[in-house]
Amino acid sequence: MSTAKAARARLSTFHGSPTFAIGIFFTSFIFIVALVSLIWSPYKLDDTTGNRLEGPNATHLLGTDTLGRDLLSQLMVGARIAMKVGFGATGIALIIGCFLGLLAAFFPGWIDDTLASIFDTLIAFPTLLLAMLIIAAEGASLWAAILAIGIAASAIVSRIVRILTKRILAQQYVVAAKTCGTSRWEILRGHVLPNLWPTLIVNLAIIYGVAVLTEAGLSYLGLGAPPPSYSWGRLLREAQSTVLTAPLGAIAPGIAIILLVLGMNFVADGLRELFDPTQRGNS
Amino acid sequence: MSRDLLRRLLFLVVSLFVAVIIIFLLLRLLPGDPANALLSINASPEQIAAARHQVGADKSVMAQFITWMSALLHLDFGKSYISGLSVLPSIGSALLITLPLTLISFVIAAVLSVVAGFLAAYYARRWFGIVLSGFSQLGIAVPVFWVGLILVWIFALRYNWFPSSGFPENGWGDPAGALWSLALPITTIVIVMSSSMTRYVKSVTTDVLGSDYIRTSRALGSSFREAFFRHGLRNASVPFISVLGIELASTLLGAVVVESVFSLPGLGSMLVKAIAQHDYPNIQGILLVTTFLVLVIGFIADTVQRIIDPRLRITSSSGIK
Repeated sequence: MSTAKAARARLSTFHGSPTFAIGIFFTSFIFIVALVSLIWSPYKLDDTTGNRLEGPNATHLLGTDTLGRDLLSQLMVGARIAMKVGFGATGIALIIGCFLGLLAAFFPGWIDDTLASIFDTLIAFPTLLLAMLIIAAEGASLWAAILAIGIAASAIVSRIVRILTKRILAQQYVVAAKTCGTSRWEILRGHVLPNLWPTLIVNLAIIYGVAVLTEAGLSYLGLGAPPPSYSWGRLLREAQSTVLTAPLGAIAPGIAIILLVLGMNFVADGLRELFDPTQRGNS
Repeated sequence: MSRDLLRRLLFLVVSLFVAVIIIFLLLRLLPGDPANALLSINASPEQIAAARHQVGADKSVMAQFITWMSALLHLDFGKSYISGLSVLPSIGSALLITLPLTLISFVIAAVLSVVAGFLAAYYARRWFGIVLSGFSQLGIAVPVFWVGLILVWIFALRYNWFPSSGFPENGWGDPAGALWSLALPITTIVIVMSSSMTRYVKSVTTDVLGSDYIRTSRALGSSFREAFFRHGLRNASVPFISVLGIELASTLLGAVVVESVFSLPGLGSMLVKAIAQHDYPNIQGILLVTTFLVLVIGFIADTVQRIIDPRLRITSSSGIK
């Protein structure tokens, strides 16, 4: 409880930080667009009544694609996919990573040694390579992409959780608690988790950004959700051949990706400063 | 030192073996039947049986693994289901594009980021440092293929300064043409990779600049330059090299994506095509070679780190880092 209260107190002193504020602004903008797209978008996605490759105008704010579909509407639905990818992959990484990381930290010996070397090896692999391996086996779909990215990112979470937990377990107050007969479960809840989550949440924000970037890459390569899909990466793939006549189709989805990823990175930096005052002014 | 080297060499071999098993199991057990890639949807049962026999899918998993493994040890990666070409030579010729692309981009990005990162840390409170940090922040949030797309749009399609795609017919037989067609892909990768490396260099340099030993050295009367080059550089290079290893692996993957933007016939284009066509021998081969490269890069980074920093030579893997 006290940690949360202290964090809230620090939050108010932190209000003047532009990094965190901009991050929250960017991410909540995309989030709201995604929510709005659930109930309203300017055009239906299968509405091909527009002219082909129109530039931006009053009826189609961002113009249309090769089939005459409204670009803005596609971007809005794309925001929803980005949200699914971001939260989905981060959630998977969190669950697997916490489980394996805590397992390794609480059971020193061969379990820890084996898991630690697996994490170290996996970390060396770029997320995209692991994702491609899983997609090569599973076939391309949005859920395969989310699962693949989540599993790849779980190595990062596992390693962080393992190292931090070991550090916390070595603290004297935890050793004292153990000596007093506090159960493993109580130590986990009372000492480990409260000290774990600040670092964890910073890294989850970064992983969110990486997940969105990776899915965009997979979709761009044609290894994401098969068409019809409105992932920003796929929009870029389709816009590439017409970039000379309709540049906005290639620019707008890119800007959307940058807004979300940059926003999440800013949130991460802001949170890091928030939790660790020595980091202030060091981002 | 030599015992430690031996231990890590062993670890490298074990990791490689584990990777081989994982790749084999993933591709053999999950997708159903590799024979599917050979046949159309309405193949007769006899055709399916013949195809299964051809790829060896009718044997037990263990038997398949042993056959595959012993072939691998003889550097026989099999033949593509689609083109019938041997996998390894195809990978070799693809690497002739991917490796130069990766290495040239990596060297340029590393040099750029060392300079930019140092300046960003040294001038952290001036507009100059803030602008540099801002650019690197932006660079890590940008999809690498999007940078490529925008560069193609401006410099290839609008102004026709560079080719928008492809590689010269006779490859490196035409070195100028080859480099010309790699110019935009290299620029693309450099923009994105130097951003993330600049961030690392900056944070490492910031740590060093604020460290006790630099302050002590300065207090003892050495100039900033003396203090930094004698004490700072070596300390800063240790974490940076481990990052370099990971970044080199990322650059390789960046190259894989960028190749698709510029339709370069490298490893990346080959992998994407192989996945789309369910061409398992090619997928396996490429993933194995990439995994091998990533592991070897990590091993080299590790070794170099130990040469620079004697403290690392004695720590065991079970210790908390």
